[in-house]
Amino acid sequence: MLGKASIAVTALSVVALAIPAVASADASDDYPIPNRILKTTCTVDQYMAAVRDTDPVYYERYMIDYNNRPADIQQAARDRIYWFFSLDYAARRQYSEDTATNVYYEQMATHWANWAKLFFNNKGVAAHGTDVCANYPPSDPAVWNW
Amino acid sequence: MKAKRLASTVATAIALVVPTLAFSAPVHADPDTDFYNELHIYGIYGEKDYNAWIGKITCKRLYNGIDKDAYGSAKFILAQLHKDSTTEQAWQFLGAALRTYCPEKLPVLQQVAGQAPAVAPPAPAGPPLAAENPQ
Repeated sequence: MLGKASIAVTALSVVALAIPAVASADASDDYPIPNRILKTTCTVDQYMAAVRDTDPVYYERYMIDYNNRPADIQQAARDRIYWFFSLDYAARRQYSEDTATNVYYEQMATHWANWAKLFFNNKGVAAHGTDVCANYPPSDPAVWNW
Repeated sequence: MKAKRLASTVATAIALVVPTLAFSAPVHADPDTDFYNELHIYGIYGEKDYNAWIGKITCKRLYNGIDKDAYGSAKFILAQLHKDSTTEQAWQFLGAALRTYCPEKLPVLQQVAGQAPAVAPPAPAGPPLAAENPQ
C-alpha cells in the first residue's frame, strides 16, 4: 500500500521536474528584446533623446557605464546598435531569437555585458521612449555625449 | 603630582573637544539629505536617491543646453515627479535643485522672473472707449 503511494508521489515529482525542462530558451515577441523595440521606426538617436527625457535616471546610468568603456568598445557598441536598428521587424525578431538561444551569439556582450541595456533590458523604458521618439530629430550625435 | 594634574587637565580638554568634533560632522550632512529634507517642505516625497538624481540631471541639462531656460527645466522636472504633482512643486523642486547642486545656475531663475510664462495676448487696438477717456 505504502509502496504504491510512494510510487505515485515519485511519479508526480518526476513529472514536476520534467515540466521546467520542457520550457526552452526560445524568444517571444517581447523577450529578450521588448516588442516596442522590434517594431519602432525611430532611429537610435531619436530613441535615445526620448529616453533622456522620459527616463533620465536610466539614461544617466547607461551613459555612465558607456563613458567608463574604452573608446574602441564605445565605437563597437554604437556600430552594433545602429546595425540592429537598420534591420526590419523580421530580422530584429530573428536576432532576438538568436541571442535568446545562444548566449555567445552577441559578441559585443563579451566585451560589455550591458552594452544594449538602454534598448533591450526594460520594457517600461522601451515603451516610454518609443511613445514619443518620433518627435525628436532623426540624427543627433549629441545623444552619445553625456 | 603636577604632571598628574596636567595630564588630567589635558584629558578633560580632550573629553570636551572630542564630542564637539563628533557632533559637528552631521551639520555638514550630504547634500542629498538636505535636498530631500527641503523637498518635504514642498510636499514632494518619493525616493531620496531618485530625487537626488533628478536634481543633478536638471543641472546637467542646463550645462549641456538640453534645457534652454528655467521653463525647460521646470517642464523636465514636472514630467519626473508623481503624476499628481503641481507646476508650483516643479518650480520649488527646481529652486532647491539649483541651490543644492549648481548654485552658479541660479541666475536662470532670475532671468525668467520678469517674464510672463505664456505669450500675453496683444493689447486691443483702436480708439479708446469712452470709459477709458480721461475726464
